[in-house]
Amino acid sequence: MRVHVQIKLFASLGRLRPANADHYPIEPGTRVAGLRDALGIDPAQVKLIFVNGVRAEADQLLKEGDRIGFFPPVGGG
Amino acid sequence: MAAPEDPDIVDQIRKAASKRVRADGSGYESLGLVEAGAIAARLGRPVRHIETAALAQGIVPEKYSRNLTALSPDDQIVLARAAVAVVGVGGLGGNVTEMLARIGVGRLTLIDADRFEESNLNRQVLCTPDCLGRLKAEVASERVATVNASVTAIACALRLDDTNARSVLAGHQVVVDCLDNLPDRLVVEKACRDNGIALVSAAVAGYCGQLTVVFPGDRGLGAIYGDATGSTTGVEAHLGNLAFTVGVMAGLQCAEVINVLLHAHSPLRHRVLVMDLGDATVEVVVL
Repeated sequence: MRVHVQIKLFASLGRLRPANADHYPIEPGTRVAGLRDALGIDPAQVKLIFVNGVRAEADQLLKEGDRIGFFPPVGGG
Repeated sequence: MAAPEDPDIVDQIRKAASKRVRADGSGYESLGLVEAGAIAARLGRPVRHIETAALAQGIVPEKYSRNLTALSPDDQIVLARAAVAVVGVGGLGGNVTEMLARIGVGRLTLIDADRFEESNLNRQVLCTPDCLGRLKAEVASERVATVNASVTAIACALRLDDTNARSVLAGHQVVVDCLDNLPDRLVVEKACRDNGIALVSAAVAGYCGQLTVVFPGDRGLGAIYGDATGSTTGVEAHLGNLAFTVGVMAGLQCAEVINVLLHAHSPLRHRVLVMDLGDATVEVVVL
């Protein structure tokens, strides 16, 4: 039984967006780091990850309906 | 500073003021630019002192009349007495400078060592073809003088580093981080921390932007960038910077500058606003 989450990839990460990002299946027990790796995101490149509007650590467990955002370092002015 | 109770000033302001009506039918007393200038000339005082004395009487300089009632006359006085440093007067900073000058922040220190280049024309409001090669800080201070002569603009054509940042930023109530690289942002954050100054920090890349407000003692930018930044630039190095993205983020920065100046508070403290104009996503994330 899979659970589904919603994924938002910001800026340069947008090219990694899966077609089913709004209803993305993951195995139960998947953590933030697992999802990040499955999406092909370089962990060294992305420090700001949030789940349901709160900053998350890589080991946070994901659950049905979670909204996960990945935001790369942005420094322009 | 002109004392509001100075009878000569108050008398002249009252005589020069006129009644006006807003679009909603409510009335207010207004002091025009020419009248304020004439009183200042007669009394040998700066125009901004005349305007502050008028505000203390509830008489609104007409140029600020549309700031009311979102801002009160007392708020306008607080802004007139405030000092804000804008670090980087390129894309974000040019817009921030323009808006803070128009709203009436009394003193703006405009810090940037760079000169305008042709590639700035796509987004930097202070950059025009005839100012290419000129110092951004100087052009910005001239723009402030043109827009609102009551604002004191100080051009500071230097790059902040660990040796000068603390002394340059001392004395300001808010610092606005409009820089274009990560290491300089951390230098400014440290100087604000050491000085006890609130920092309003924004950054952009392509359609995306982020904004946070850091008070002394907060974890700050490390919560966004990580504690060790390996790279000097972010993804803007690849995505570029767009005029509407910097305009939106600069507007949000100014709202937070005003929040901090008037209320010593920001809804973006311990939070970061992230934005993607490609799909109209705006989210405030708890850090």
